[in-house]
Amino acid sequence: MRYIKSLYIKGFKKFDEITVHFNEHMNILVGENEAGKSTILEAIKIVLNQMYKNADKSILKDLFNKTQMDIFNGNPSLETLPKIEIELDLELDPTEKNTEYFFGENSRNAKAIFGIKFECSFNEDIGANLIDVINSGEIPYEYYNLSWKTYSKQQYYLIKRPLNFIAIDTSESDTYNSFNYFNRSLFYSRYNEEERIASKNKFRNELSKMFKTIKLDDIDEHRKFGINDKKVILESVLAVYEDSIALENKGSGMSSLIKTQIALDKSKNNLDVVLIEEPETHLCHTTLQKMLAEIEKQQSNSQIIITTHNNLIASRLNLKNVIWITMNKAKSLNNIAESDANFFIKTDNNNFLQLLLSKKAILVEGATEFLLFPKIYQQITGKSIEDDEISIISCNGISYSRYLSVIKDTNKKIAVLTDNDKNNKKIEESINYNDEHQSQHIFMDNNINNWTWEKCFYALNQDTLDNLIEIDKTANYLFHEKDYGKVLGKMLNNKVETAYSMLNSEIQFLIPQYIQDAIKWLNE
Amino acid sequence: MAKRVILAAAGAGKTYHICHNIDRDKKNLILAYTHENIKNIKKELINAFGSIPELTTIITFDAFVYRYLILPYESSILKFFQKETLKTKGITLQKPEPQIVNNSPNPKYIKKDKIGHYITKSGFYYCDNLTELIMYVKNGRKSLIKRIANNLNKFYNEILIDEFQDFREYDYDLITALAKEIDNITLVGDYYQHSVSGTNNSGKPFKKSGANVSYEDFKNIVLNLGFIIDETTLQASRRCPENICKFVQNKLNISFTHDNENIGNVILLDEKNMENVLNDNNIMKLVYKNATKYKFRAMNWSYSKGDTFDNVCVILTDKFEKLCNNDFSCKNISQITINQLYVALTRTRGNLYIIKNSTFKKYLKK
Repeated sequence: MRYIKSLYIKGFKKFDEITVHFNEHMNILVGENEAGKSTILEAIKIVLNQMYKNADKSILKDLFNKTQMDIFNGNPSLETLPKIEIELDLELDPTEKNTEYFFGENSRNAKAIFGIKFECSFNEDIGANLIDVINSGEIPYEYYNLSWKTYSKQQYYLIKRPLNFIAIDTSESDTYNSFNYFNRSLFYSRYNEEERIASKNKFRNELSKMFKTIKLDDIDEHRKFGINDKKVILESVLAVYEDSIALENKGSGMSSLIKTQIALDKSKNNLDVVLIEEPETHLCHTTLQKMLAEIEKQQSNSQIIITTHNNLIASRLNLKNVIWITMNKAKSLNNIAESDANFFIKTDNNNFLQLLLSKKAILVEGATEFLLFPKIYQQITGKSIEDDEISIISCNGISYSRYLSVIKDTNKKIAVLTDNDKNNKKIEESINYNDEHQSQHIFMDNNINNWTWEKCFYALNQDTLDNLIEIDKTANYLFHEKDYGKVLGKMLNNKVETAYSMLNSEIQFLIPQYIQDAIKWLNE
Repeated sequence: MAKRVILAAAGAGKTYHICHNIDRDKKNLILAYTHENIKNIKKELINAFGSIPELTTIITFDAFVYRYLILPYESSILKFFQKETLKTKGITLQKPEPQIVNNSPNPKYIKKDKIGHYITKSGFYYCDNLTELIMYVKNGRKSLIKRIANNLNKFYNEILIDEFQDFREYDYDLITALAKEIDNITLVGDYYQHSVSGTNNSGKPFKKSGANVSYEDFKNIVLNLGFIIDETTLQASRRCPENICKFVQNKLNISFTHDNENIGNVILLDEKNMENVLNDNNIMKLVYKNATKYKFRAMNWSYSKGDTFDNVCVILTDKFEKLCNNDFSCKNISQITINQLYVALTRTRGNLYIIKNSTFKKYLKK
């Protein structure tokens, strides 16, 4: 089994520094927009396909990491010049051909393993006299070197590729190139060298021969038209046909489905690694289901790396395979405390994914808060939670500490709204927690008399609620065998129904202070 | 399979044996000393399998040391010398500063424990010191080479080393160190061809405390390294005709039999018939040195190692003036000198013409 074990990026695009560990089979990269999911796929393509090898150096401007650029601009010098390093650790079988060529210590961790290292750095030998230019704050892009070395410190040539790899790009922007690339890769992995050379040769010869049979008048006595051999390159005109229709001519949804099917058929096409970028794009729900079924079926044959925004994809392909990209970190659910990870995997909890994908989130106890919070938010800020890209997640009986433990060490802004449960210790703990954590805060009423959401609201809006909530005069409305008064008693016993009445009443309730604090803090 | 040394006779088909006995479906690594050897091995592999088996790699020993032992483990090497940030750029054929110049210590000499002993200031490895370097680096008590050899086991089913008698000093130490760890290793060579090549013609393992190491001593050294010695497989010459073999065995006191139907005789030339042979381009002339100086088709004795010719004419040196006399004995001639002649005498698959040095001088006078 040949696959990508991990990827290390330093100074490339979004990433100052990141390490991503991959599973042998299925990998689902999730993360908020702009978290760098596509950048990770791009980094893999740069290393394995030597992308940008022949590109104009001006492209480097877009590839360097902004933090590194800022450091250079603040203090221009040879030492602070931006630099890109990408390392791809591989798992290969040493008894297979050429594998020794990839084996050695030429990587960040200096252990003898398989891999390839890409480096884009200023060439001090040819740019030796540029110190003044650099010190004046200019980056001499033209004097940068792009190098690909295997971990045995030898030059990496594409012809010796360590594994067969294909990327399925569903973005529409670059259809021509993406097809061309797909067709080429497939052609390469599907046929062996002998078959490829023979077909290319035959194609070239037959085309020239055929052209001669077209009776065109000569240009003059000594000159006539012929075929330009250098332009007759089979790979560049190949297209995949399904029942006499070229994939290029099918709808983009359909063509990504077919491409996926082809790519995953390892027995025929020998692809070790398949990258799939946002398969949900252009796919209707049923086609997506079909594609997922296909992927699910084939996932033990190849290594699959998918990026997605889609909850369905992640939960269908097993939460355990989720790799969460956030704030320059890649977190595998395998890295999260096992008890927490298992908890979410076992409960197959989609809220959890929503939390990973959101920019900011508010965690609430249950359905009551879930129903009312958007209205409260609107009332206080004049905006909807969607406007401010805040996700609301209902814990539904799961302790919020499970969620907080998953997102710890990140800057994701999370407010937790919870009840103090008449527990002074809980209040004290939340204050301590907030002191220690910048990006995650816990909010609750700090008076144990206001021990629950309903009690807090009732304390502030007693008259309004007495009018709104209809009670049965004969009922006791005891809550945990205690009498809290009939209205509050009913509110406590029928939480969701009460919330629903409040939501529909169009009354502007007075909002408990801790909720206001939470909203204010989220928007800071 | 295990650790094996095959002691071969000249022309017994070392290359043939190596090439026809590998498992083409497994990974093999074949090392040889010269590019000439490599060419012969590749040719023979193509004869054996139609093409070079996909999983078999054939490279020179120097390339092996640099690409398989040095480059992949450069981190460890630089760390050992605490030069982690050093950027190396390749190999140089430039000679390192010698320890002694004109009988006095060379102030430019850099000691073994400094990186400068192995790498130039501008970052190039001295080709001459590559093996010394790889043998020098340790990690705690464990030598780097031990770790590398164990890794090589993962990659190769078998490692074969051709003409192992050419390895000297650090190269020899390296082979020994590798042999200790490598599961399947086969060394093929001919004791009687040791020290024939121009370079590497002194020192370990064929000299011990200044004295030459005899064939029997050498076998003991190899046995002590844990090798099995095979003296039968490649004992008979597939090249030299019966009469030539008898002549060599008789004159040089080297066990040498034939296993072929070739026909040829030993013919001592005199002044009269010498010229015809010298001018005949079908006969390769083997001279002790300076082959390019002569108008006729000629090659130096030491260069002819590994080659086969239809007919050969050997021009003797002064030391062997009496070779064809009945009372000839090589008692007072060094093993190295004998080996050099042995190589020259065993190149023919047909006739072996011999010209005495005194006779040849007459030709030169003309």
